[in-house]
Amino acid sequence: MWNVKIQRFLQVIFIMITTSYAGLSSAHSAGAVMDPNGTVASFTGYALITCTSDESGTIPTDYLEASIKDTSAPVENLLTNLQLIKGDRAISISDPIAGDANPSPIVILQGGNGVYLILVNKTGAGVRSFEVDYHCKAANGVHTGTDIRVNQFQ
Amino acid sequence: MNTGYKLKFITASMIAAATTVVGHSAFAHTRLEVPIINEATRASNNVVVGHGCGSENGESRNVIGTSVVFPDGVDSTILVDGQPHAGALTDFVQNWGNQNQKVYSKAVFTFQGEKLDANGNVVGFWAGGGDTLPHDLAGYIPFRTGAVIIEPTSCAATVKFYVSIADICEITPTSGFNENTVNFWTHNNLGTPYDRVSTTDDGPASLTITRTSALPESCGGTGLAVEVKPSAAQINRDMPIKIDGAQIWPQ
Repeated sequence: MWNVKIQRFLQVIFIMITTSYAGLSSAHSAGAVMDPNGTVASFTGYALITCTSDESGTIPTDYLEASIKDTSAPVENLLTNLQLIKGDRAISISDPIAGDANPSPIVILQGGNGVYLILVNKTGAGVRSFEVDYHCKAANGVHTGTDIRVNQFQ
Repeated sequence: MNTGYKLKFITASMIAAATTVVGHSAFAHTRLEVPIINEATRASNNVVVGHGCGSENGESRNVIGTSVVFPDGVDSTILVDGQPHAGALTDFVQNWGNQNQKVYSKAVFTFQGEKLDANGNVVGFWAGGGDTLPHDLAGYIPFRTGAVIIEPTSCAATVKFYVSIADICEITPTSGFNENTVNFWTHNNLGTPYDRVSTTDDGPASLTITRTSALPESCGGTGLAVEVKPSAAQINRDMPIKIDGAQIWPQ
C-alpha cells in the first residue's frame, strides 16, 4: 500500500513537472515570440487552418473561432492582433491588455469546411510573446477537424 | 532526450548488427498502409516496414529504425500528367504541409520524433531504438494524415506525394550504406547519398489524395494526375535522424 502511495505521489510530481513545460502543447493553441529582436514593426505570422468535418465525417464545420493573448509585459501603444480570412470574409481582434491573464475576445468567422488564413501581427516594433487559441466548430459548437500549417513567421 | 537516449539508440544498433539470422523473408517494399485518401479527410495510417536488410551471404538483419520524409512542396518537383510543372504546388493543393503527424507508439521502436521545417511544420518523422524489428516480420509505424484539400479551381483529379523512407539496420556514415546496413525506399535519381540503387524509380512509397469535388467545366471532364517528388536539397536536409540537433544517423 505504501508503495502504491509513493508511486502515485511520484506520478503527481512528474505530471506537475511536465505540465510546466507544456503550456503551449494543447491540440489547438500555438504560441511563440514575434519580433525577437524588437526591431521589425512589420513582423507577421501567417498560417493556414484547415477545418474539416468531425471525426465521424458527418458533421461539417460551421465556423472557425480564435483569440489571441499577449503574454508580454504591457508596452504603451504596442498591441498584438489576429485576423481570420476565408474567401470574401474576414474578421480581426486585438488583445487590449498585454500581460494579464485574459486573451482577446473570441472572434468567429463563419466559412464552413475548408482552409482559413490566420494572421498575427502587432502595432509596432517590439518583442511580443503571444498565444493563439483556435478551434473549428460545427453549428452546435461541437469541435470539428482542425489542422494548422505555418507559412511564415517573420 | 539526452546522451542516454542517444546511447540507447546506438546500442540497439550494435545489438541488431550482431543479431543476424539466416534466411530472407518476403521482400515486400516498405509502403503506407493507406496509400490513397480522399481529399478533406483525415486518416490513421502506418508506414509498413516489410523486411530487414539482406547480406551477401544470404543472412538477414533486423531493422533498428526508420526515417520517413514527405515532400515539403516548397522546392519539390511537380509533374502534371508526367510533364514538369513550373508553378507552385498551391496551383493544385490548398494546404499541403504539416499534414502527417507521428502517432506515439512503442509497439515497434522505443524512440521517435518528428522532423520540422523552419516554421515548425512536420515534414517527416523517425522511429528507432529499443527492440529491433525482426527481419521476417512486418512493422507498423503509426502516423495520422490530416485533411488535404485540392484547389477547387484546378483540374487536379489526384495528387500523389512520393514518400521517401530509409529502413536502417546498422548505424553507419553515408560511406557505409549498402544492402546490409539500410534499405532505401527512395528515388533513384536525385543525386543524394540516400538514393535507392535501382534501374527503375520504384523505391518511394506514395500517398495519393483523390479529388471529391467536381472538376471545373473548363477542365473538359478530364482531371489531371499531379505528382510531387522531394528535392535533393530536402532529402539531404530531412532524411538524417537528429535528436536535440545532434545527428545520430547517418554517422
